[in-house]
Amino acid sequence: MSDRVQTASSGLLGALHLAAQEAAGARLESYHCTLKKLDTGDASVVASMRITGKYDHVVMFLRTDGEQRITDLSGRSDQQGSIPLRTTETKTGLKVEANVIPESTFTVTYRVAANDNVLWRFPILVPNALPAERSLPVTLELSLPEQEQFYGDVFPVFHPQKQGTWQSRLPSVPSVVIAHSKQVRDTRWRDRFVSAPVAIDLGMLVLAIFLILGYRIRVWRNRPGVK
Amino acid sequence: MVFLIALGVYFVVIAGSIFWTSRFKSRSEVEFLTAGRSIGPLVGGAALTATQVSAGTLVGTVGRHYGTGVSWVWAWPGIWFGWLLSAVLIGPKLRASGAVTVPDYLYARFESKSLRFLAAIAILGIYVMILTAQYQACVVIFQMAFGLRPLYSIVLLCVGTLSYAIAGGIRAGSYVDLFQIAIILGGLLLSVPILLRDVHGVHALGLFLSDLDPRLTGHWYSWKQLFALQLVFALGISASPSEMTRYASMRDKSTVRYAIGVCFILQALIGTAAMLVGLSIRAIFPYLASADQASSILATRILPPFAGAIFWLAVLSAIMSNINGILIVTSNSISHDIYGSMLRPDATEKSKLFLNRLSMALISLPPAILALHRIGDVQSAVLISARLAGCIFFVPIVFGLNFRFGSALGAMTAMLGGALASILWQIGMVSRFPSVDGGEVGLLISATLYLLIGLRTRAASEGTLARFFGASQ
Repeated sequence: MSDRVQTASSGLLGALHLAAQEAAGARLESYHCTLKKLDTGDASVVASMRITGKYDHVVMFLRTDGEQRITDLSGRSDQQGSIPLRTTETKTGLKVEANVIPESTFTVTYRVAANDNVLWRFPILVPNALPAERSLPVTLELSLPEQEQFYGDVFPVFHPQKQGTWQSRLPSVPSVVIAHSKQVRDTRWRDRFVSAPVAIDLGMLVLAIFLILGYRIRVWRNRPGVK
Repeated sequence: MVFLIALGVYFVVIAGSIFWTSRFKSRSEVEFLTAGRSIGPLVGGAALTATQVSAGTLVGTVGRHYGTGVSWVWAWPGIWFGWLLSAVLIGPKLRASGAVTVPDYLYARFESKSLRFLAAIAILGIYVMILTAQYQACVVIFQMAFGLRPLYSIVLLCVGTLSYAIAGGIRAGSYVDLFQIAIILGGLLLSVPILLRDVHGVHALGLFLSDLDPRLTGHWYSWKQLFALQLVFALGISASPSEMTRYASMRDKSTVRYAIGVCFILQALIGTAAMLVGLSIRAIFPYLASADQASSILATRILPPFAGAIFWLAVLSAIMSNINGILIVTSNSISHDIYGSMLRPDATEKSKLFLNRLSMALISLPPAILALHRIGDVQSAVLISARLAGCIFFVPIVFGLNFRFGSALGAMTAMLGGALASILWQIGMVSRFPSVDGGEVGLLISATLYLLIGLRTRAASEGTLARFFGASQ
């Protein structure tokens, strides 16, 4: 039955399926990224990954939105040792290419600094490979300097691990991590509780109440026998 | 937890509306099927939108934008053209004809019971396919949100949807549709600012997408593919029996026109929001295992908890409102067009009403069983049925409503020939000519057969033609 449906829907949908298959040659088996915000205000990132399938080189993206600087970029593979990385500047960051042996685990490290010295968007290296079907092959670990704490927006959702470290497990690699943090002594209560997600959640709540009330009033006004 | 609370409140509101509208008992089958012809433009427009917007929109369309970028937006002119056709050539005229269902109209226009029977059977076949896709989408959602087993998800969905479809017919369905459309619109529109914040604004979004793949902000499809896509959507919208059933519940011809306008605006808002959502998710998670995951990753990983719960409810609403529309149109085919008009013309109103409600429950069973065995992806099933609905119903309805020529035999061969040509083309020829869609071939064959056979065989009586077009000069 499934085959028949697919055959009957080919043509238009055949073209649409290309989107998910364009990088089908390579599969991201595992991805582990450690993101450490430093006392100096910048951050160090270590991204280790294993990509299976047939490919001759790996293409990766770093999205900086023109507001962050990437420095000290280097690569290392468990089978090849140090690996040279070719970088090309794009409109929104860097394109990074590496010749790695398929199926090997390789690591890319880099540092991120913000042009205005306030770093809250952390570019994450995204390999051009579809993630493996198994659930949550991506792990992000984030640590802050001592005496700093999160406030406001954080994306994606991180769960606390050991002291000063948070972890997030995801089905795919995000191009950015958003984390506002401040010294504990500088954080006010409204920094912690007044944020865009809280505002959006409140907006949703108000909308829901408004909808339910509006809907009930409309149904009541249109009740049988009322003109 | 937040989703469970939101789900609880949602079902309480729907149960409240069922209780309220069930106090307004339908005395006859026609009143049950048409809500006493009392629906106004706002509720009517929301009901038309809800019938059209399905899991295909919130899961499929968001996924298409994720996978193919801005280009998918060119499917919308096809949808808008479909509504335009409906507003000018179909909706008001169908409402004026007084027909309760599409087979009813075909019988009245062409004076053929066989044509009515054929149309009723076609409706059953087409909508069982869509119903299966909706159940399947629901299984995926409940699995991702709660890890619920497929059987339990389907039982929950059947009980929820059947309760308001059976209790209140078109009336309860239309009011619940209004509520559900508000949830869908709210869920989508409030997701946009969060996503745009995450991608650092529209400008940064566009730049990153074009860095990732220039086709995402340019042309993913060829113009031939786009034309075929638009045609399939236009046919599916304008010749959809589930939409036409809604026209019968509206007050008059002008209400139908206004309702189509409301629907047009609602769909434009939903379409724009779905595009921004799909594109933004692509920038945040550039490589997902499947494009259909885009919606679920939005609800579980990107949106804050309550906003995520509302988005899940929006998807569930889309599925439920679509199923409600389908149940109404298919049960009408059984109780009104097959049982009440052909098998037992002397049946009492009570027995027809009973059969209508019973058939809603029975129709739910085959798609539920098929959905447990997965028959393909949601968007495929929606496109196939839109194509079939267009090839079967477009020509006899549009030509029949607007031109005096045509006969019952011509209409029947147009329906059968259009469907057959479309299916055969998709199975055997589309691999050789991928830029020509089965919908285009089916429509061409259908129109040719209608003209050739319609002009050579006996037309409807002068009295019938006078009823639809006025007395001839």
